[in-house]
Amino acid sequence: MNVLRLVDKVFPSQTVFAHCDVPCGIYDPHQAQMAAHTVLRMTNMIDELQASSPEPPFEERKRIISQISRLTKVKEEHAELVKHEIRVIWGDYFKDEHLKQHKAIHQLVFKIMKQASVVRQNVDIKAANELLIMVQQFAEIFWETKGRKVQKVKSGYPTEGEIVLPK
Amino acid sequence: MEPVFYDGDHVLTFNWIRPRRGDVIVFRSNGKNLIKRVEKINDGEIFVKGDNRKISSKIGPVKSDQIVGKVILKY
Repeated sequence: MNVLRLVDKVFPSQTVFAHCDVPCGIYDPHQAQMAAHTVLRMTNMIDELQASSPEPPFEERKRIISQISRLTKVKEEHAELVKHEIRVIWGDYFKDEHLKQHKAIHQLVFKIMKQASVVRQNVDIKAANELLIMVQQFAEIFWETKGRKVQKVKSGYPTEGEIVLPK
Repeated sequence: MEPVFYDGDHVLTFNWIRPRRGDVIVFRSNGKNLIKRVEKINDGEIFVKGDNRKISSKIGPVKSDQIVGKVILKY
């Protein structure tokens, strides 16, 4: 056999791959849930901001504008992170056999994409809560495909919401 | 393709015969050479799968003109 390897050195062989991608197999919807909680938290914080009067002094206005800018930036980033995380799991992890069991997954992912845009465009606590619920549904389906039962536990975050974890 | 083929193995392919179910083939896909085992053949479409079911990625059916050859030797 070493003779053939020697031949390969003279006439280099081509590389063949067993995989068309890097199927690392490591996926977890936890990050998406954390991001959805962050969106909700930022929405709450923007909503709770108050001025001392209808016409506050310029210094106070600057502070409020700065604060809203920062909160909005984080809200934008985390809504985008929700989309990214969901998209990766949906596109890379989910396979035909999962779809047979969970026919609603495409529609759910579509709704999450749309809802993540709604929460960016508005300061809407109800919409942010709906996004979180959808992401939790996605997490439940994900763990079911792995044959794991799920539990909803208190997140411990200031949003006081829950997080879906495998048992 | 473990446990039959590992990283670094060299293979020799032969392309004068039609692949049959169970054969390991090398084929072109998106500019890359891939190696997989023939699962079934339907109307000229060759369905392939990897031996290592834990991490193997699924790809659609392969057409005969994509085939580089059947693996006849590992060395």
